[in-house]
Amino acid sequence: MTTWELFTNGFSVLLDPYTFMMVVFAIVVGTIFGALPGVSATMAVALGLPFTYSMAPIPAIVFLVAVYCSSITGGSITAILFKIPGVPSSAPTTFDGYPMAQRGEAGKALGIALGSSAIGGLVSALAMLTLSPQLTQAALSFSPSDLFAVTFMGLSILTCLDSKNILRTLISGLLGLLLACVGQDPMYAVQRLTFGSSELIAGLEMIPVLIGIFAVSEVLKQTKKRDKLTSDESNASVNTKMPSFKEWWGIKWLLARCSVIGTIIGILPGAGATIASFLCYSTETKLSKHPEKFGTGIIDGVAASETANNAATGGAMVPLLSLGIPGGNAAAVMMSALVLKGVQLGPLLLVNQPQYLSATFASMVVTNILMVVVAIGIAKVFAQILAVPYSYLGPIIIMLAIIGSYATNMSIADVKIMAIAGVIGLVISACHFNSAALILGLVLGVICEGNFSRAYTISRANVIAMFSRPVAGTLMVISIVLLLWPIVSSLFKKKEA
Amino acid sequence: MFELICNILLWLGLLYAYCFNVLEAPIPDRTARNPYTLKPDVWPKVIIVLLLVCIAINIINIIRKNKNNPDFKLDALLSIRARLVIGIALVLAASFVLEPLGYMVTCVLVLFLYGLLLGQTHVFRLAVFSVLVTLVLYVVFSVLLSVNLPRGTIPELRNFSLYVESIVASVKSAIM
Amino acid sequence: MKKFLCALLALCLVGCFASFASAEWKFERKISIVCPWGVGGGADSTIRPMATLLKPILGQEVEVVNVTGGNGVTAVEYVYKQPADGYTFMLGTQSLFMQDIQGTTSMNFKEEFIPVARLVHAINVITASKKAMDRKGYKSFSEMRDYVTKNPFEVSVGMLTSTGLDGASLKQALEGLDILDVSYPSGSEMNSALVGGHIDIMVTGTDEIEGLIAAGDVVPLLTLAENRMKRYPNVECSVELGINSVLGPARGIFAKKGTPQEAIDALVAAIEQAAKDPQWQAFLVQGCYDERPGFAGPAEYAADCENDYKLLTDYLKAEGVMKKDYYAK
Repeated sequence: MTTWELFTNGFSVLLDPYTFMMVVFAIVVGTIFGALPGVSATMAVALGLPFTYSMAPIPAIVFLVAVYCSSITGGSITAILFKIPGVPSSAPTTFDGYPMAQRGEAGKALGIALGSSAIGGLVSALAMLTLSPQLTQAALSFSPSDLFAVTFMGLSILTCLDSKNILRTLISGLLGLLLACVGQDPMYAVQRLTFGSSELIAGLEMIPVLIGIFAVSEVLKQTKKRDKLTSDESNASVNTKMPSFKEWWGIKWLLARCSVIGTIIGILPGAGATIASFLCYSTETKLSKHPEKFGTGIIDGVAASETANNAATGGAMVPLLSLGIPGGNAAAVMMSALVLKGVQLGPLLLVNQPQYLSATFASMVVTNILMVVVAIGIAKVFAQILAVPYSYLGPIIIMLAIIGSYATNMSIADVKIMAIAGVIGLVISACHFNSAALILGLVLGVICEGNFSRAYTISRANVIAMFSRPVAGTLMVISIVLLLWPIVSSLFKKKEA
Repeated sequence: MFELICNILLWLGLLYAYCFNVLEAPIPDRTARNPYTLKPDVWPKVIIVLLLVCIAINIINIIRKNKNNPDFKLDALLSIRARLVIGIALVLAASFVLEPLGYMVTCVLVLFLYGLLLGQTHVFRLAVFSVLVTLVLYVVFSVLLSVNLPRGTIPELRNFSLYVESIVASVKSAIM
Repeated sequence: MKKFLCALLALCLVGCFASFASAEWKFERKISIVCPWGVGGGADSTIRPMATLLKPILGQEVEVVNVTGGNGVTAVEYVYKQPADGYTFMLGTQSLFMQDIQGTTSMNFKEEFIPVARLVHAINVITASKKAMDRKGYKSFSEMRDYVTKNPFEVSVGMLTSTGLDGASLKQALEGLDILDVSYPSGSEMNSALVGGHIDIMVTGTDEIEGLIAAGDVVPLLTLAENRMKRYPNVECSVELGINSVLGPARGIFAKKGTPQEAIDALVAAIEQAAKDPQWQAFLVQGCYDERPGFAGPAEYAADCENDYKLLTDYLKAEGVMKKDYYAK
């Protein structure tokens, strides 16, 4: 089948009114699920499973893909409005989205988030349709040492997240990496750093730590500020002014870069939307002309993270459709749905039944376009909540944080971890540490260590051989330069002064 | 001052962890014999050593910077507001009573008490609000998203949760 | 006297019937089955179709709750905290036994949980990467073994945590060979690495890689079973080569000790009925679970578990990571 035939074939699936209605329904529920804390994209897709029991395999995958893409987008709504990332991949969106909302620019932040999500999603869908076989081969050629180099590059950003506080940012990042070691080690399941607590054997889940450090410590900070009884005062009014064309034009290259990086990260085994959004956020900080503005509420930060995590959705579908290997947890759920329907997944699927690829593509295109309209409507409803006085809103956020961290794994331990993380979040800001760096370390830590350890064994303990591969070597050199440059340049500056 | 104390405590804590808690179970024999595996204690140990160095430099920086700072005294610690302490205590308490009390009671208590803490004066309105929000969140998460919210371990509260669930189930079956 | 005895007998019979009648258990609300592994994985895809089939038989909602983390320990702790009222069961495999023996669970799993019924018993298979095979030049299991003997620590073997079931099954199959074991956090990452040729061979259940085998990217070398598999009649099995390794993941339902026997009996009866359903039979074929008998009742499953416990205790003892020895004299 030619690309054009694939293209038309895919959209003909969506011409069926029933399928189309199901996609619209999927977008609405997907966005809401994504916006609710504790309902990750994987859970959203799993919750969508029962609806597919009566569907044929192709409409089923079309439906689940729509849920998946829109839930990743929905996560940005609560990230911007309440500093609670609805899905983990929206965590970097809070860095700039929440400050924007606090300034009364929630409308602009949401507009940027939804628009760039759609762009990222569309680019990756197109890449999936046209380049699946090539992308698959590229992804398969990534060895553990290459994967380590990719994640290490993500970490190399640590020294430039906050140029005035390099040392403290570095400490925060290292603490994050150390927290990622808690529990059974990734290779031999040996317990580490649990201090004898059986609740820590499973390690620190990312979601409770995220919710605690971001949302709960924010409420605690607000609690501290409220000295006087200001019970009925309303929060900053929600400005629904949308971003202008000029602003969009200003970030055109950022959108292009993040779409490409996001798609590639999505394809890599073991990585996913969360890693993609963190990596793009840090890459853009590095490339920006004004890195110091990141984290204070600029559209670049929101756009980088949201473009990347939606671009990763297309990437995650590539290995599933072309190899039968799910590119992430959400894709694994889709795979189980297809397997239940008797679809034989594997490299032969694309050869024998290319309509799976084309239908997935069509679903992603339609979802990413319709989603913007639907999500703006849903975001407006959520934004109404902001107008509620803080003495009502604050407790609700705390309760959402508790339910959100519990729901991921039915674990009381996670709720305790969330509460403690909230307090630690306060200590972090009191000590001028950097919570973004800490989360970055925590997110990348497990993958980083696992791949390093695998690469080390495969290369038979030869570190030089590990990095003599072209991809790994190049990336490592770039990362080390990135890592050391701010330190060296700050030393020079000191000498001059 | 607070920062200095935190850094010193962190440094000592890490040192303790380095000595006693990096490995808490034996390494499997086959792994230990294989000369080409990265032992599970290497990675965390490297990170802790780097941290010890960085934090030590940070401590020196803080001390140097504040050498001539007259405000750099212990009593600065006491300026932490009582309101914040209560807030922290409430959040921590909520996470610990969630298991015995279950979702329903914890949620009403958190919403009500934290609302008071944030300066809400209309006590009756707040109480109604707490109960209503508890119900709304219950419907969204437990009924619509089928999240098993904690039922509580105290028998009376557990039975109450089961009773609510049975109502929900009969309503559901009536609709379908 | 005779009359009296007859009356007594009759009374006994009536009593028996009465107690039999009261033993009938009726589930009154939804039943939760806790799955210690994530949505979409092998364990989860086994229990979900079963839960769907159980619902009409039991007349109640049967809900699968995924409680993941700590190689299954989190789920064990979760179920242990629930009351043993017959409404919470859990899915288990030998991985839980291994965690128990290694002392990661806070209670003695073996004593606190009762095997209820086995659902499926998969076969582990050693597969090789086509790319790596071409590079290293072996074509069968025996050739691979010779290659490893000549080149110690050159062949890398992928598995999901080396102290898990895969590790044990591998250790048996490659006894005495020097290989590089490489652990992966998920089957999908390991499969990509195998197809990409970054690792040479791997041990895995048969269910996840059928498509890759069909396409020729992955070549099965040895099935760890008593007989050759119907699917791959040309692939040697371990027993015919004289290798004593037949461990394969068995997934079954467990109940916390103290769960009413009537509830367990009712569930077993329901599972037995569901296992005969054509839908379940079709699922077994699709998932490659039809090569070994799947369903087993409480007695048979308990005997199986006991066997595996002994075997795994020996393995973990040899690895020096055993903490609880249930067979200490």
